[in-house]
Amino acid sequence: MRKQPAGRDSRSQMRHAAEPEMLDEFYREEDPWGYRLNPEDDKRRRVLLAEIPQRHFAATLDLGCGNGFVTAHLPGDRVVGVDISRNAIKHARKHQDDRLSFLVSDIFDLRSDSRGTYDLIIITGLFYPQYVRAAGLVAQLRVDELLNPGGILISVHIDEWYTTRFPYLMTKQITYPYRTFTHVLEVYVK
Amino acid sequence: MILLYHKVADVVPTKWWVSADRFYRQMASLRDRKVVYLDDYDRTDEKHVCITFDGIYENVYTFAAPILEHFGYPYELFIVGGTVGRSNEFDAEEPLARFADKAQLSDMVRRGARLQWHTRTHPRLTDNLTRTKLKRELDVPATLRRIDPGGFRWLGYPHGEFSKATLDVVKNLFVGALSCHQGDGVSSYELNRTIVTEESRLITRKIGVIIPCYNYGNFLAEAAASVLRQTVLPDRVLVVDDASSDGTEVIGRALETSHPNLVTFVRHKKNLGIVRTFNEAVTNMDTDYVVFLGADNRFMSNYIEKSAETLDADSAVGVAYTDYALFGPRAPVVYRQFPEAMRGETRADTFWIINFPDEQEHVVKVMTTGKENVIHGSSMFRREAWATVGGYREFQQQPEDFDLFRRIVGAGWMPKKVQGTYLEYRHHSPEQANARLQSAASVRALREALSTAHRVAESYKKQIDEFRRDAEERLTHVSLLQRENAEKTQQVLHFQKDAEERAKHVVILQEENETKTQQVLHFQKDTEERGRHIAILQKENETKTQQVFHFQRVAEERLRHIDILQREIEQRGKQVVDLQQELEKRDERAVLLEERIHTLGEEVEKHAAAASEASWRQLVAEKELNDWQTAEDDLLETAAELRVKLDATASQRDTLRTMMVAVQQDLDNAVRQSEARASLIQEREVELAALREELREASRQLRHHRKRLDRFTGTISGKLILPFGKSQRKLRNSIADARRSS
Repeated sequence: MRKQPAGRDSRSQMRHAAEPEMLDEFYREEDPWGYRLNPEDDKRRRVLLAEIPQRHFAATLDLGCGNGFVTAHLPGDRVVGVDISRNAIKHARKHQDDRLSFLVSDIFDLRSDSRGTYDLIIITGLFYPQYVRAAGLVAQLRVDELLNPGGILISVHIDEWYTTRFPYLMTKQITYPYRTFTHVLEVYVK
Repeated sequence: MILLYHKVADVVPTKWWVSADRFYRQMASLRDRKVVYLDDYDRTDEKHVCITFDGIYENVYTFAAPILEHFGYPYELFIVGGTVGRSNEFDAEEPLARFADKAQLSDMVRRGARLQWHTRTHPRLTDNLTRTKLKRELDVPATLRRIDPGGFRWLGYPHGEFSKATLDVVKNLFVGALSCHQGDGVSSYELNRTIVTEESRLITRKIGVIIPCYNYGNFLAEAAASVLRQTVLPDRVLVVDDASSDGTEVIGRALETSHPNLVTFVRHKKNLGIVRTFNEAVTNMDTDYVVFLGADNRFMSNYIEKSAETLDADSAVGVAYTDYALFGPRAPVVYRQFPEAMRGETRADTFWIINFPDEQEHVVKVMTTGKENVIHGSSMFRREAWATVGGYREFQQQPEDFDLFRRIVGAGWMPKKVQGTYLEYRHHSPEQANARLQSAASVRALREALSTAHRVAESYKKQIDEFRRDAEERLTHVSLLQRENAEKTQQVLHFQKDAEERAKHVVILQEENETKTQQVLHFQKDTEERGRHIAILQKENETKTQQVFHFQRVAEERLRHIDILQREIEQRGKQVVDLQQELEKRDERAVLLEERIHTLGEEVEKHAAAASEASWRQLVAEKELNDWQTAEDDLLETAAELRVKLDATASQRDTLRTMMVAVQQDLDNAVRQSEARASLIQEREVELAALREELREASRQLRHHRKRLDRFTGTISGKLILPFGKSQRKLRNSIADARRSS
């Protein structure tokens, strides 16, 4: 019997809705959530873009970028989109250009010395129990490593599943309905 | 203390794994110790802690290393040379996991780890290993040594096992070695380690947060959310409602429902005021550290971790305080009211930072003199300190928190500034205080309350349905009972008629009854008499019983006696058997002897007969002799007379003499014969005497023989008077003896 890998190594074995293999399946067609057409996601993008402080950002990181639907509109001289689903990134790469680049990785593998640090980090739907499980604090440390002092962190999550809080001053917290859920958007300054 | 970890990850499939979040909290709890490398480890220093890993699994690199770097702790990695960069497929019981490769090990060394040796293939280092194999296991290949040239000075025994032979070799190759439990804990080559699991708690001190609330229901959920989303959670949260008239109770109860093991909600029926509320809350908060949070404020998410860390690191510190991050519509106004030296940065036009001084001496001075309050009311303090100074006090000159912390510092507890976190201090307008639903947290809390209310309503609805159904059933039941009732009424009429008849019957029976009663009285008297009789008989019975006991005892004694006698009888029986056997033998011999006696008897008879003949002859001879003597005398007499005729008759005399001589010779012969016989008989006597002993118990036949002998000897004894009667006496005696002894 083939041994079962555990933890991060076992992602390919898990049956949760948003696991890479299943995400890959999900993203096989380009716009599976119907982002562009769905008014809910259009709203999501608008709300996020409205909350980004008006200032200059040299480097921006979009964690959980999916197919790059929001990433393309983010400010920053250099923008990097990261997602765990290979298929999603494949579609996202359509937006790739001098400013925009994409990468397949999970949060635990991202190291600051590989691509530098950022002034603005957007985290969408990453800090859920089924992704970070019992290592949420390590994921936070990784994010902290990647965020410059004085940088902005914007967290967008489904309120029902989100139990984290980042150790920075939270300048804003708003909630809005999203599909059948409630989204909570938090803006932090480091 | 030396800690031992194996796998640290985002899941905990077996006891060899610790979750990363738990590992983070375990590391945070080491703040009051000194974490060192093994080379610097002093086992006699209680505060020294070494963090070691065996393996080394890739998840240690991914999850543990960032945390250790965050806390700035040194740590030791014991690698199994043969597994570097491989997977643990050989470990049948554990889920699949990869081992760190050289690049990852190298990265960790750069960030504060040291590499040590855990053998090449992880065998048990006992005496079964040959010296060559042992040396091969302990040899560190150059490719690995290069990764940490300053490392590999320590060995970790696989499974913690070692033997004397192993020790000898190890001592030549390493400066020290670690077991798990087997070592003596003293020698550098026998140090023991504590295996850390998901359940391990390296510290037992507890932290409590108190959120007192008076009509700040709108902000309460947000305040509580900031407490419940900390990097290190408190052990207890107490929300106290001082008789608010707004939605505080609803929110408070919802919080308790959604976090049942963490949050407790208490509502005062009457408003007790700040000091009483605070003191009561701390009294009921049985934790080592306590911190208050105003219901309209927030903690930054690392507030508890950092404040507790400050108290952990130094037991002399009694209160740990932070800077402010003011926010809210009136924040800029309040900010400008602070002295310029204390005004910090403005962050994102949202937070205005107030910096409090961090020089301890200065702070002690201004606090104890009451000049300046630099320790805000939401500073974390030791409960012990609060207890020592007698808690909060009313009606003082200063606000109650200033008054408390003054006294705590005055009592000798040190104050200490906490870096890297803020109390988010809201300054709101009165309108804002009345505004509704400020935050997602409030929404959540109210939703929780609503769902609780829904659930309660549902359960009431269900109850009502049940009652309705119940009522219907009872109505059906009632109509059934009514029908039964009509039936029963019919039955009752029927029974009444029946009853009248029976009443008549009863009268008859009553008359009978009187007769019977008489009889009964009679029988009762009889019974009493018999009762008395029975008593008498019972007494008799007792006496008899006593007797019976007595007889039983006697019987028992007799039985015992019987036992003894039986045993004797047995013995005697045995003796009898023996004697019977002897008797048989003796009977046989007796038969033989009888025969002999018979023979001898016959002989004796013969001899006796002969003897009697001889004695008869003797008697006859004696008689003859007498006669002859008489004759002799006569002759002598006539001799004289005849002397004259002597010469004439000399020849007559001579002839007579010759005849006498001849008779004498005959007699001598007879005597010799009888002497001979007598001696023969003596011999026989001797034999008989010898046989006497044997023939004590004579038979009747012998007596018979005796009797015959008696007859013979009886006739002899009366007539025996001759001089040679001595020998005859002897003969007689011996015959009598023979008689007796037979």
